[in-house]
Amino acid sequence: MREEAVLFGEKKSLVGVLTDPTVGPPGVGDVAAILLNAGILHRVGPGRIYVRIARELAALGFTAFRFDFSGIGDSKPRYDNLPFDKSSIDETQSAMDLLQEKRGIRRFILIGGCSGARVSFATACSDPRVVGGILINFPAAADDDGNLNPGLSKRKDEHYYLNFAIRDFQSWCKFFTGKADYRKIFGALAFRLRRRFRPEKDPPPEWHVFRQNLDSVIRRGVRPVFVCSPGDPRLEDLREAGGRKLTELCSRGKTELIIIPRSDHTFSSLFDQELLIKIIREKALEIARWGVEELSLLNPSNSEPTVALRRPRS
Amino acid sequence: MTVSAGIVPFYFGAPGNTLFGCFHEPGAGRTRKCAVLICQPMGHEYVNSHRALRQLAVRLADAGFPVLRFDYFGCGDSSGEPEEGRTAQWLDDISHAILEAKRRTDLSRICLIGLRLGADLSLLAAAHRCDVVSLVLWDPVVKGKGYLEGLISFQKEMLRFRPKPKKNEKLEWPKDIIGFPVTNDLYEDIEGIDLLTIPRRPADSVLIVETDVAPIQNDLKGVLEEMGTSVSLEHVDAPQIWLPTIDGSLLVPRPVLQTVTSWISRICP
Repeated sequence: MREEAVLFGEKKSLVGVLTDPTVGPPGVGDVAAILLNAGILHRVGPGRIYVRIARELAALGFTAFRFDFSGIGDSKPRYDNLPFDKSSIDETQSAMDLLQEKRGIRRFILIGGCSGARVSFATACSDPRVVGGILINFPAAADDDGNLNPGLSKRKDEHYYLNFAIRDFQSWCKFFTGKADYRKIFGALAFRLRRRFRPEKDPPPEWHVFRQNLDSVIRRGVRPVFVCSPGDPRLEDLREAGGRKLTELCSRGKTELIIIPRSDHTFSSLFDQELLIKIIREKALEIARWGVEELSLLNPSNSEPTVALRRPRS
Repeated sequence: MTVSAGIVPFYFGAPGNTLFGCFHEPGAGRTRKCAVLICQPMGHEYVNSHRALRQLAVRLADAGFPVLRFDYFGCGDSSGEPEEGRTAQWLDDISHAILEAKRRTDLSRICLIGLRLGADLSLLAAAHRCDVVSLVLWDPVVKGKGYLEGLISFQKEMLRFRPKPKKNEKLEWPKDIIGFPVTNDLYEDIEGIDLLTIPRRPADSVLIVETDVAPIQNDLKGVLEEMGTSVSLEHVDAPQIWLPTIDGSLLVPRPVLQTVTSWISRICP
């Protein structure tokens, strides 16, 4: 397997590692997978999982590229005051330009965890070269700094109390000996009840935007795959934000919501990492084939697919 | 102080055993007569401290030092799988990285900086060479056994706040330490580390930085001084950056970076 370190971007300030494919099945070689930073962890990802994903995908025939957004990992910071939600799309497009220029690739699958999933989705909304996304623990309702999501800390509290503290002996000891933070606990429960009974007909504006964008990228032939951890409060956010639209798109096989049992936000166990990699391998192959079929259905005048392709089962 | 020229990411080493490195060119102006090599810690400590070590490299480059950061075999962007990691291999990697730093800079004098297990590896590597003039040991792991016990208890603590794995998902070996495998071989390698029994003088000057008061660092200072090394032990009030933070942020301990940069600038004018 051949890996190459590259400097790219307008000012050659972004650092990435390009993994060239080994032999792979036909129809995959013209698609590249780009891995986008999970939060502020550098391009190797949590548990070095991005390196493994890149190498596994290269073994399947994909060109894989992992890089650092400006100010993260080895890439230099930008000084143009462009906010992250814009600069990250711009830099992802620079990565696509690089692969187009260096390897002649025009179709891309974006893969990212947490904020990387958010950037993947946002880039898919704005760049027609993206044919799919594997969006790991996609933050549908929030960003981690809480700017868009004032309820994030309450959601984290709710998640912690209902998923962990409730089964933890030490937590119950604290509860019965007056050492627990009762205000926080009841605040989290009240938050839970409000969420449960919030009417679907009155969703917050960002849910509307998410549903519209999801619908729009799918109409364009993009296949987003959501991979989630039950140990992550963002799963509930995604379900709420996607609502019936997400359920409907999943049932039509246009997108998927895959839950990896007992995994957590960063896939911090080796067993969960194996499961995640297996899913990414399968889904990347499906997307690469799906992309060609969808494009040919949408634009019949486009060139014929070079191999016999089947629509993946939903 | 000048602004560093930039970084060059690259792969080096033999095919099949290539290591990823980032070379920080010294800032325009004063160029020092010593190249700096940064030796990273392993596992989750490597991921959590990457940001701080990059910032340290930038500071040193701004101060005129050419700096090489690199990933050991099976770690970071280097080739190999984490299950293949052994301390003997990583010591070889340090030797290759020193050669690469010399080749890129035409300098013969080297300063090694290591954090946690990286500090141990840099000390052990230096003890088998004659070209390391100074050494910075940032919270070194003096006894490998205690370090492993700490990792295992940390993993148990982390499991309290995440879904429990099923019995069939747990393996005896490799041990799962926050998503990084520690094989039986690597475990034994680390268990055997005891810096108090180091066989040879590693460098002329050593700086030990401790962010947590640990009497054993004084013992290490004593051992090194007995060998004729000039040792400074600095306690710096700073967070333990190799541990994950609650909000997922990666900390950059400015006082430590300042202490290290000032010390190296004084030792290698």
